[in-house]
Amino acid sequence: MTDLLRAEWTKFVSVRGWVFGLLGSVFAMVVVSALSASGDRPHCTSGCPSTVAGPDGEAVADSYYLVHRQLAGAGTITVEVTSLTGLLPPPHHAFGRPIPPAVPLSAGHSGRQPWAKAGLIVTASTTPGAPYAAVMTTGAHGVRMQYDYTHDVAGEASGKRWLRLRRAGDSVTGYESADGVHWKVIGTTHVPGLPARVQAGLFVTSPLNAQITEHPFVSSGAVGPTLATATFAHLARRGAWSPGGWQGTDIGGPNGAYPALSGGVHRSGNAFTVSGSGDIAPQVSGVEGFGVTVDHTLAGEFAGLIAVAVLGAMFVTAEYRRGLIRTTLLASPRRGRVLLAKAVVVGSLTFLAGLVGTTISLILGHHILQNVVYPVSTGTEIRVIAGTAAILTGTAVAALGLGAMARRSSAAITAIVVAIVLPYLLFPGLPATAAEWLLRLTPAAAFAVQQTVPVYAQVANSYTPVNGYYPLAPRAGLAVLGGYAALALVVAIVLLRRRDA
Amino acid sequence: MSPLWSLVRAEWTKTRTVASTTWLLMAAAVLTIGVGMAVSAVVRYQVGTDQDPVTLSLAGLQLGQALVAMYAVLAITGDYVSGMIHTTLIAGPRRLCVLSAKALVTTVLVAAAGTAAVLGSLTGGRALQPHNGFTPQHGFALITLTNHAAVGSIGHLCLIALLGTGIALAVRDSAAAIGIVLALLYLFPIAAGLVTDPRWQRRIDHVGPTTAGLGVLVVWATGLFLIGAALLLTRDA
Repeated sequence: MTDLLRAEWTKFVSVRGWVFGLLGSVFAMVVVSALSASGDRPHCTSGCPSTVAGPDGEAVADSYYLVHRQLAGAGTITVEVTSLTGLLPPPHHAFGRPIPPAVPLSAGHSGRQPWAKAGLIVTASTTPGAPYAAVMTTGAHGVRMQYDYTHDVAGEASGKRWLRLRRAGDSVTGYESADGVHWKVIGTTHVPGLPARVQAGLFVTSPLNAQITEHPFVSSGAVGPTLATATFAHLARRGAWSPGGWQGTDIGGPNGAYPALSGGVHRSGNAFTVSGSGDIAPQVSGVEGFGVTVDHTLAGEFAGLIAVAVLGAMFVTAEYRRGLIRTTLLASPRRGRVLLAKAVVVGSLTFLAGLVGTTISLILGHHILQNVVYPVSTGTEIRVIAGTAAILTGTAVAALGLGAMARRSSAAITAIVVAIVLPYLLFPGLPATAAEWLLRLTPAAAFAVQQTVPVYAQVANSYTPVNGYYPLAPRAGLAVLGGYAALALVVAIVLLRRRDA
Repeated sequence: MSPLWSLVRAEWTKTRTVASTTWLLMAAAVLTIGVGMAVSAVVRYQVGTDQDPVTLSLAGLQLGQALVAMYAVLAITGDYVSGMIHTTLIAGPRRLCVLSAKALVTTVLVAAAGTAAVLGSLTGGRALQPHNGFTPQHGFALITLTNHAAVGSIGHLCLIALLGTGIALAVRDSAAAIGIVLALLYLFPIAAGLVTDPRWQRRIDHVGPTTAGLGVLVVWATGLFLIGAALLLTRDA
């Protein structure tokens, strides 16, 4: 097998056109990626606000109105939310991402955004992206306990208006009650990175309202920032609270990364009326997202994909054209191994080319798009790079298999490129369910490996393919392409053994 | 018999006796109609969108054009692979006449397959779409079979064939030529779909051979065809 590998390796590197083709695929990837990234740059009048990274490195929205004071140790805070009202923006159509950050609410109407939030929060600091834990009543999703942006624990249905947070060290417990006498625990969590002195108090926020129709290209309905107003009563606290009074702070605010309106607080005795706008939640991709996901820096992979399909198919069909196949099979009569060796050589070379092309594209893309790219964890970034390279490998191996089957490159190349590209071109016009089936069954499923922003039940969004949400998990998607490539290779081996060369 | 006519007959005989011609052109028509009907069957009328029934029923052209391009490329590179090009050029030393004959045969066959594909797709859309809400009540007249889009689509396929011919003449290798043609066909719409800035979307759409409309495709196809022709006339075969 080593000899076979060396033979196939020699064949590949001694054909100048193929080596240039491989380098060309890297070059094409980088150029197309950079061009496409340039077209993703948003136009902000006075510098785009940076996307905010949460404690785990993911992109988050952190925009709300906070009425707070310092808690220097263990302590509890209790409050009754007596009302939660809101203002929704006027209905209008919005296509795609650019939603004006400040739709005049004077033309709007009253109503609660389903994920409007009002309650108690313990946060490490008033800097956006800080670790926190909170209990809240919501517009239409009952009482919740949420912490560190991505975590969401459901309490009981609405009707329970009393909330309590207990903090001891980095442990925070949320409670709910219908009457302020009988309390029930919602959950206890550890919030890593919570310092000794934390800010704690009341908060109100209300996310963007985007009522999205099923058609993936068009979001119609009321789109824009909303405002929620909550009244709080019976505010009580115990424990190691620092001296000083309550202070109102607009976290994020109208100039932050998340489109929001100005909030405010009005106090009379022990009752507070707080208005807030924004969200404390993970950022999502699509209509409700306000940055660019990492995969937007990798558009050039389509160019690389066509190039490696050509290489993969030619690597075997050229042998038929030149009659070299007879020499090859004479030298190693175990035909299956010949094809396997070819697959290993072309697979690893295209994987390497993919790694280089993707890495350069990603670095260039970050440079072009700067702070609007959603931050992702290093592990996710590695997964996207390696996964994209694996898409190139799968394409090349499938093309090799098809080329050996058809013995002519044109059919193999057209088949594999069309199978990967066509679903991508067709699905934006299709209903979401049809688009999802295309991305489950065709080799294009592999693009799931580029999805970096998961679906969050606690964020209203259009979780459809056109917004970057794939029906399969990254590995499962890649496995679909891998399955097609393996199938093509196996059928090719069977045919090669049965047919005369 | 005029020399051009005998060259056309020679090219017709060559393409007729190659099995892949029939298969490719039939596949182009059948798959175009199949994809078009599948799209017509699943897409429902949606208020407030700019859905166009004719465009929907012709969605299969996205696939059909690749097969048509492949046919055009193989019609040229097949001669080079088999060495037939030497015989062809000895029999017809006036290379421009040979090329005209080839282009004529390719275009006529593609036009025939394209007509079948387009009429079949429109018939499918006409039958299926009224069930999905594309009705006169919603402002959609029944699709007619003789509209501008139908003629334009057949022209589109013929121009794609011409474009493929030009590239194949230039690179003389089927794999490389197919790769280049597919990149031209598909990279522009994909890039336009991925870019979020509408101004860049327009820029990309306005230069792509498959995204900008027939006028721009005419420029691409004739430009590439002329380059291919010039190379055929100046290079050794």
